Amino acid sequence: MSAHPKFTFAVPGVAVPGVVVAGALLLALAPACYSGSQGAADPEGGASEGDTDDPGGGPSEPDEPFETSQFACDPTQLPADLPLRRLSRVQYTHAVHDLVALLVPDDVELVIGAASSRMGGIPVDARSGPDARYGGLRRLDQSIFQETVEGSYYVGTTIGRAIADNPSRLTVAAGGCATDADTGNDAECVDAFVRRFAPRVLRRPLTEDDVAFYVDVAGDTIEGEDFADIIGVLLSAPEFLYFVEQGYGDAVGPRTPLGAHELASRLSFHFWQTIPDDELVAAADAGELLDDAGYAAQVERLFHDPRSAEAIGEFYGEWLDPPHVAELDAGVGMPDYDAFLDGFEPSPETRRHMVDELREMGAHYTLGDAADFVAWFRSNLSFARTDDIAGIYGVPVWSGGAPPELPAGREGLVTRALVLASGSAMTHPVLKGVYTRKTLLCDPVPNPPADAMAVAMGIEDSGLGARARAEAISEARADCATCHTRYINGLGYITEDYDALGRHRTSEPVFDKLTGALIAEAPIDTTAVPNITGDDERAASSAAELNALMLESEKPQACFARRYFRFTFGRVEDDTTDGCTLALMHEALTEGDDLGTVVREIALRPDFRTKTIEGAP
Amino acid sequence: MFLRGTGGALLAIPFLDSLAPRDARAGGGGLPRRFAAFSTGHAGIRGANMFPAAETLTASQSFAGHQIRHGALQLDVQGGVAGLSPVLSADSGVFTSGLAAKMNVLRGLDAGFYLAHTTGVHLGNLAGHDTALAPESERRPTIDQVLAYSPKFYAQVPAVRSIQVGPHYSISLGHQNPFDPTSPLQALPTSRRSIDLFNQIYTPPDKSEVPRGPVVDRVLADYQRLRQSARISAQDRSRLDAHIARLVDFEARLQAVQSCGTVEPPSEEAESLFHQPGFGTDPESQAAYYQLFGEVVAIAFSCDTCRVATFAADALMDYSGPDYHQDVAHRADVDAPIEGPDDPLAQVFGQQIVRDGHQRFFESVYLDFIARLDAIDDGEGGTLLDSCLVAWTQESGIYTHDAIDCGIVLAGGAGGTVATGGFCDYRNTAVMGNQFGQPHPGPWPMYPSENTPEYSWFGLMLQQYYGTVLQAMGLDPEDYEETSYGGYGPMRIDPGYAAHPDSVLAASHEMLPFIGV
Repeated sequence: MSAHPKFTFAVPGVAVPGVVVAGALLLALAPACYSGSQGAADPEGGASEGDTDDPGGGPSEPDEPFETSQFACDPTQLPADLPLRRLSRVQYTHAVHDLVALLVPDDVELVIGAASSRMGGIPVDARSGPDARYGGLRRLDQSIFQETVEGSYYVGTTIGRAIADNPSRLTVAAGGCATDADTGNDAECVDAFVRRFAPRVLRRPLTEDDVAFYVDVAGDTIEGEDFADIIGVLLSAPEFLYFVEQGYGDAVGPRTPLGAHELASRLSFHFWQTIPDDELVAAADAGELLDDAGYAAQVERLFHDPRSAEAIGEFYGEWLDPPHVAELDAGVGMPDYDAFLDGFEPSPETRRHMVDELREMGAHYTLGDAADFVAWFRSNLSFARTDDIAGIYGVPVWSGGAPPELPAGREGLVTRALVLASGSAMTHPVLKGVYTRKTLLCDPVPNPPADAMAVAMGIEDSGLGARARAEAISEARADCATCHTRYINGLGYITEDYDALGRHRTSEPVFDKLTGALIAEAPIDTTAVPNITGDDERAASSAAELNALMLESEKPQACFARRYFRFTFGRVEDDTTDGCTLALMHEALTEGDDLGTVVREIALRPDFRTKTIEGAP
Repeated sequence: MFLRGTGGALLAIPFLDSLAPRDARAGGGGLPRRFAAFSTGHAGIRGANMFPAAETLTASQSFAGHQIRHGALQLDVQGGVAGLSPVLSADSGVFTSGLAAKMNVLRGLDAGFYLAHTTGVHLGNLAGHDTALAPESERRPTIDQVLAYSPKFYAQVPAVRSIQVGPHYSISLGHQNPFDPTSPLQALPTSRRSIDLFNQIYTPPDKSEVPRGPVVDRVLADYQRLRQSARISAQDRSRLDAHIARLVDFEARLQAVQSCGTVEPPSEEAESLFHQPGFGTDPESQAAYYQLFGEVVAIAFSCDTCRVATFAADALMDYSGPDYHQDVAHRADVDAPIEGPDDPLAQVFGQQIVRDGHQRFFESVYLDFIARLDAIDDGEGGTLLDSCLVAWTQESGIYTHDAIDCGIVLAGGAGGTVATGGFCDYRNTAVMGNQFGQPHPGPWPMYPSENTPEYSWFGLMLQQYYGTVLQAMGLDPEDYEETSYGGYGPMRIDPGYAAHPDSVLAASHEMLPFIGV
């Protein structure tokens, strides 16, 4: 129905000749604003408000953004520990899967399927961090929700029932003693089951107290359901859901070495997102992980195992995923967007394909043949496994092996489709600049003035291209221009020779929003001063030149160090107490160590292998 | 009785009298009280579109040092459409004078500092999660969570303490350990699947999954024995305690009796609507999405399995441009054609789109929900709505990015603690409000101008509104107040907002005038 007819909606005479609001371009003034929904949002369902509340404006003093690449190592400083870190949802899901596989290897999917709705009730981790939409990582979400607690309980009990209610499965999981008619062997059967299964769930050898505790779950009269209960209790156990680390032996104090099984757990979940495999458990059992050489050997093995690709991909995919790129099919049907697409047919999967390319790219350079940071950052190879993205680049689909070379001039992260796309007919050079500043350089960007979003600005020429519009909107007012010209816009202008899908262009077609008619072919100007360091007036005109300036500043390397630190330890770095690890990583990256070595090195660091144990209160 | 459900389902809703034992009722006598909160997001709705006409304000009184005004809500019916304002209008077959008499429309409630792009304004976490707005120390649990864990509100542990709905985000914030106010705050997850939510509030989806008591006991015991370890840190132990507290609560809630009689599950899954192509530009699908959840919440309220629900919603929009946020919300001052053919958005009139989207929300979501509640006999001569308080709040006041002159729509008498049927105007028309905290005239004289013809005026504090909700739900001020001013949460007043006098701040102890009984 329509609204009440009594009320007059139109307010006549509001035109202000010569002054119009160019809403699409005001986007440029709101780098911190979520631009897809009416409210702040976490489109993937996470719940962290750190991900949702958004400054968008308001009074704030600009932080000095150019000190982010300086690390100093003070060996007297003690790194902090993340309290009782919990498994990420991805880690939890993988671990449950692999534990079910230990019990009923032939029925894994059926058993997991039985618990799928319960699994779905466990909240997805939110990308988290100080500025979560720019480089936020899900591993940093350490929320404990009621749904997390109840969900894991129900998953455990449901899996237990799916196994115990099926005699053949129970026989496989616990042995024939669990289903035979002989009640005389029941107690021994439960005991054996606990001794075999619980160490893999808890990720450590059992004490006799542990055995007694879990056996006691079955009670005096043992039935098949008791196995379900034991499985349910184990899959809800604190030492399954959390990284419970109590250090090696009886030692206490700062940076106490972790025990062998604690190290195995850290390594396995870090590199593989799941529980230790048989070999790693055996190495822990044998004490080999307490020996530097034995530990390093396992780091090498885990790193080079194909299972590490997912975690590495997660890191790159989350770090580099820009907040300003909408779903590429959302604007289909808008006349100007349809005209702009020019035959390209974005699907609901196109954006994900763009993210996947960066995941693949990161994994390739990190896990493949030795390649340093620069090779990755400046890569001119395509990792597009789908027609849509390969079509944007004009290269064949990559199906493994040697990746196709990108056309000349397309170099580095800043020319990837995911970074260039906008979801609309025009590029967003300002948001590209904000993304580059925040995500690739790890510099903070001051909030815009509080009233920036509502300021009417004049656009005298509808044929203006994206750069000219951005200049008109964001550089006209002095209090806006200060940041936009110094910190932001230049970084985005330099890649304006790529359109809002990431296709190369030599001029910019401008379409009428209502009809889709071509209004103008605006010239492309890619020359700008990116001012990477804050006092650098050198101009750049191409992605290659921009990449060179960024790498020279060593900021991208420092940014990688920060982000990978967070991914590893599940917490935000402290420049003082974590300075040694950050400095070491930064130095390795700038000196050309290969990425794989850098990633392995952090697992060899004392921070990774120790924890402060307070001892008795 | 029967309640018409979305998708043609007929839901059998039992009488409440047999379902809500007296000893489970909040605040002593009467039926249990329930609180539901709806929010809509970014964009200011001009006062002329949102509120009843000023002429309907027929009474005034002095409060907190200034004159505030009040009038009866007067439903105007023409051509099958009933309305209080352009936004607050709907089919007259649903929006009846009886329903209007159970509503309140409030205007003139303010934040004391710049506040925008935040979900915190709706339920009392004014600081949001943004240190650019306010220090972390000013964050607070949202009032729905205060209620959810208040023993005054829930004399017995319910089956479900609170429900959060939202396809994109949550407006509810609670402590990691809800029984430890020193534990970290975290945004609560939302239910994404309406049928799963139904199963949660009604009965477990599979009888065979009903946990056997000893299992939860043993899980708890497992955590307790780890807690005894001398080798875990105090911080580790604090997180263990959070998990333990939730397990204890879970175990207690498993004992809660669900007695809904024969309730048929909803016939359609909301999530499937959300994932349909074009959902974001199809107001009917958006309405159906929220209606499906509203149906489940109505069942939960009627069965007394839960008494608190929040809906992090959005206005129902058909705007098909790529960027609602910039093209519409940030142009909410534009409500007529602009002379400027070069403007790429010359035909996008933000205020009209905002107004229409919120009118649809009012009619198809908010009104639909309160009508559902009002169709349920409470067994004591009234309806379920009478014991509820259902709020609709928006992120902004009458201008985008400006939490001054915020409008709030309420429905339900909260068990007789809220007087209904009124339009309450708390603005002090002697103290001009200012956008973005700048003294008027500011560096950007947004008004008066042709595009921004309405002045905003400072009124009462949002903290008082939050406290009003808590009091209406049976809490006493001493249960939640933390400053001498009263109200819920810290009383932050930035310099640009200092025109709010002490008398206004100090009035926050009381329920809002006109509606407090």
